[in-house]
Amino acid sequence: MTITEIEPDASAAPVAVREAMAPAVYQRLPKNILADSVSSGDHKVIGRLWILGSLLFGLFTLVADVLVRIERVDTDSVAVFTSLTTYEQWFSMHRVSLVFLFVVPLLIGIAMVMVPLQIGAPSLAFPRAAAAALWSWVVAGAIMIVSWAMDGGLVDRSGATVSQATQLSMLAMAAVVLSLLIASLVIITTIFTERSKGMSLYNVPLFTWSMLVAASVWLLSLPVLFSNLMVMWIDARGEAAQSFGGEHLYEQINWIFDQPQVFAFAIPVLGILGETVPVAFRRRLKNYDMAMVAIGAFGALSFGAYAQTFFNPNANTTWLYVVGSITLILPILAFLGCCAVTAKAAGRAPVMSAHLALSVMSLVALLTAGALAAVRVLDSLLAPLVGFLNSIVGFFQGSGSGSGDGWEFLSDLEGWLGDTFDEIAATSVSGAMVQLALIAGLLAGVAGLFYWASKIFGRRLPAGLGMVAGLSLLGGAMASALPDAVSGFLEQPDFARDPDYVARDGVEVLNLISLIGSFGVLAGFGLVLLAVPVAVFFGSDDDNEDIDNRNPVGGHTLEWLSESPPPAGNFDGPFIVTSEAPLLDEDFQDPYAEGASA
Amino acid sequence: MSGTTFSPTDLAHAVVSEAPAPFVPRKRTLQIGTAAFTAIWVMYFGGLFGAYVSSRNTWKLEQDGLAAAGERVSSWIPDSAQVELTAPTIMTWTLLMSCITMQWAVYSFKRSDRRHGLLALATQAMFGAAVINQVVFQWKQLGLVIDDTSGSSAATLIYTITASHVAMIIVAMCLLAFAAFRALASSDTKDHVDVVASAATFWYAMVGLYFIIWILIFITK
Amino acid sequence: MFTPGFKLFGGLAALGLFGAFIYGLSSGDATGPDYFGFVDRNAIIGLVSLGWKGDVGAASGFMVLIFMSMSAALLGSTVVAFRDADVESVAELGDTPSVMPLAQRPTAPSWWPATTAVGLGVLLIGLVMETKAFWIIGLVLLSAVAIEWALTSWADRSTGDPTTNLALRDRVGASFEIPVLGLALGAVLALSVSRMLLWATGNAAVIIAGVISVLILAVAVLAVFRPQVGRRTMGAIVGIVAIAVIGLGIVSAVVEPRLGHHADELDDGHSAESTIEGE
Repeated sequence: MTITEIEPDASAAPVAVREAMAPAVYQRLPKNILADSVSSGDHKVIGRLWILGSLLFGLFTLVADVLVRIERVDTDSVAVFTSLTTYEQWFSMHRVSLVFLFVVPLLIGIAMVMVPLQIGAPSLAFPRAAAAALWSWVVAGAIMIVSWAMDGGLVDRSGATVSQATQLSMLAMAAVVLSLLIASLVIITTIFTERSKGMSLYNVPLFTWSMLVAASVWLLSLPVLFSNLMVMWIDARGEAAQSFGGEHLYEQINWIFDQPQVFAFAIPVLGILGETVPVAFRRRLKNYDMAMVAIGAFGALSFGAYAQTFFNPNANTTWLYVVGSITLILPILAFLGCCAVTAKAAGRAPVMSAHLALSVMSLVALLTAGALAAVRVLDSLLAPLVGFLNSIVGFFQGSGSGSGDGWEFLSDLEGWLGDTFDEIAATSVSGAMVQLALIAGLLAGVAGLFYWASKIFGRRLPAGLGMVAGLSLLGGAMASALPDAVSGFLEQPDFARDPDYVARDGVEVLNLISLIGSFGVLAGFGLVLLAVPVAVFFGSDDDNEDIDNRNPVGGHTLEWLSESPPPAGNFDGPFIVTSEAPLLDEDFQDPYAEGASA
Repeated sequence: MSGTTFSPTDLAHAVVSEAPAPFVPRKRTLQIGTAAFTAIWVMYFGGLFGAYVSSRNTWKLEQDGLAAAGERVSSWIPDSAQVELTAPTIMTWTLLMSCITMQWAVYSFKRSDRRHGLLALATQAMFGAAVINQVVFQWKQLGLVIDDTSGSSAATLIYTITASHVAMIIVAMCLLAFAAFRALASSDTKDHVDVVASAATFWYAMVGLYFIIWILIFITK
Repeated sequence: MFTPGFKLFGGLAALGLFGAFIYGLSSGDATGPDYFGFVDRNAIIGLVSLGWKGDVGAASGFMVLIFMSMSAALLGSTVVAFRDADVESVAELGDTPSVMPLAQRPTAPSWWPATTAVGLGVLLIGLVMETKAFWIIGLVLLSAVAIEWALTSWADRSTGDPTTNLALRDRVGASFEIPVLGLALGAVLALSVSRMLLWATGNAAVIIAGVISVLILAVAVLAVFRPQVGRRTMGAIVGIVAIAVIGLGIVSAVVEPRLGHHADELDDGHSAESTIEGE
């Protein structure tokens, strides 16, 4: 029994994939922007909605950050929030939303728009799945925030049964994570299965490659978070909170906001830098293979689902954790080396632009975060090494009559390392590192918005506004994070506001500077939010006749062949690609060039 | 609908003439997507198994300390719970048998044998339903309570793991239903081997994970 | 021989396996490492046997890394088997390898993804509130989405003409959508009327039943004697009546049922008690 008997025609010549949808399809739906957006299967619309949602949630996140830091200025009392529990709710809300409602969705949104364009595909692999992930994320994110506001959230509930609001927070967060997983799955499948002819994975643009690596790491690590949330929720179904409730709620998911996992959300920093640098120097990126390996290595080292201190309190002192944290910075430096070699080979100054500046700023933030991550584990590496060295010395000192005492200065050094660095694991040094790593991801996302604005929004964004926004974001992030790092050495805790904690001298001043920094971040983000409507409603790309509206930045990859913004189907025909920068290839056939055959 | 005519009204034999040939999507999309989907589930269970083994080890260490101090000890799985091996072992063998029928379905699809393909998928669904039935029976038999006074978190973890596996079976059965629908609605099942092969990948992963559950929870306790 | 995709996932798998061994070795067994500060015999046995024998101290991390290795290996073996799904490799599968298979075509609009989100939201709230109605509605919505989605994706691949595909989808879908929706609507209407009747007192229930019957008759009479009334107008009238009935039913269900009856019973009870007390 068959419904249709039309045989697929495998022998047909490739037809133009850019074909208008039959009117009958659209006649069934009301013609308005809301209905079109909700029901759309166009990856560009879906991507834009991801970006819009992340920017709106981002505003809420950064305001929450400001409120939390206002509270931290005075460590002796609660000023903004009604109680310590409320403070912790807002703190945890800020952290969770910064990752899952802001930075990661922003990067996913940019990827949903740009990855099909970069690989020459007309659409995503599973466009409806991407749309389902989007709307599920929006609904679950809204429920999550509402549940937090209803006195829920993942905070200290010692001795109390887990409330329905808290259970809803767990489930909503799980649903948000599930949505991001589906989006990652769509991106991975699209990159593998929709590439143009001749575009092996060796030739994909670096942003696409970085999104493949990032989505793979998220695919492998976020399900572990999902499992934590499920265990918590099942446990909460009981009458009394057991092992996974009470004061352990936030502790069970804290590994997501700790090194090395937090760096997984900044992998696209390297990808976007890899796009903007060669364009700025008007040449291919040197050592392209090395750059790809560096991104892959950075992604692999940023997998951190194993370092769950709830199950293993010594997780952050194990060799893997320590060595992984210290070597995390090496791929970044290797990538920087590729950019430096490219700059040297170009032999001229780069063409300055907002997107180049923003991507360099994101790298600065990432490097600083990496340095803080290394500092955090320094004692775990150096102290055992010094101790081991001392034990060898002692062994030789006491050979034949038992072991000796070693050298005194080595013992003192080991003790100093332990005293200085031992207690900073759970202090605001951790918070500083997290803030910088995530702001690096944010800066990269903003750089992507400015770089591909003509494709995403149909207009280029004002470069001046972008530069100022970037400086404000980076300056604010540094001003808010570095004082926190210093406070961490003065034993200020990161999350849990210990009621017995007495701030040491200078901590409150540092917290005040940190607050000012957070205002800077909020102001910078506000400028980014302003840039989009200014460009869309007041901008015009027709003023300068010398700029090619298809390729205003002089890009080298396939997305610059489409119109701005790209139509349905993106391109008129398939491409044959021979390198990672096809627009620089002499033998590349541009189907849009004058005189080109249809 | 100009240019398109429908001949007989019998839905089963509707023939659409004058419509252009269908668009043939690239192969491998569904299979790579399913592999990624399977990887999500494997990692999810990895997190659960890690939590289970870690919690169990910690519990045993604590009880060893209590025993050394001469205090009363409790077992990881409370004594009030009844852990029988019959049901889980039967489930393991059922799922192993289902691997054969799953491969039979793929084999039939490749050879355009619609009848046997659908029969294999139906048998598969029956196996899945049987396993779900066994799990529900086992939950009742176990007698585990999340609020157990001994303080052991075994109940929470065992329920989470087994319930998650039931969810995975349900998802696998939905994939089978999807494959069956494609087989029914197409003229040649050979065009939809990727669908049933994707369902097979997910099914095998589900069976493998249950084998680990069987060893971890019921054999080694 | 090894594709770039395999190198990526193979690298992750190798790192996961290697990392698991290092992690397990350095965490020792439950009592900590025994030799040189990082070696433990039990831990080595535990690592080699993948946790079966011996004892891996940090079991959670060990398990996660082992499973990460397994997942990455699964992905790696899939992509290398399919040669990274490169266009040329995929073309070789077809009968005419000289013709490159087209990439994914643009997708027609669909409401099902958004409906998935609604169903998920309702399910989440229902699971927490333990209100059966909520999570059952959520499950029903998600099930309906799954079925309709499968139908739509089949129809999109039936022919090359989107209009024809749409017609085919409607033709196949209508055969079960209309009966199911009709049954569901009928059940909801019947339930709403029953709630109203339960809420009302004896006489009021008769009046309500009468009014509803007259309304249905009036609509039917209108349909018969005014055939020129358009589909949209008729649909609007029926819709308004249905919404009114359902709305009143919901209100009746929420408000205290049988207020009139309760009042009568209370009065009777009071009079009986006062009679007893007065004795």
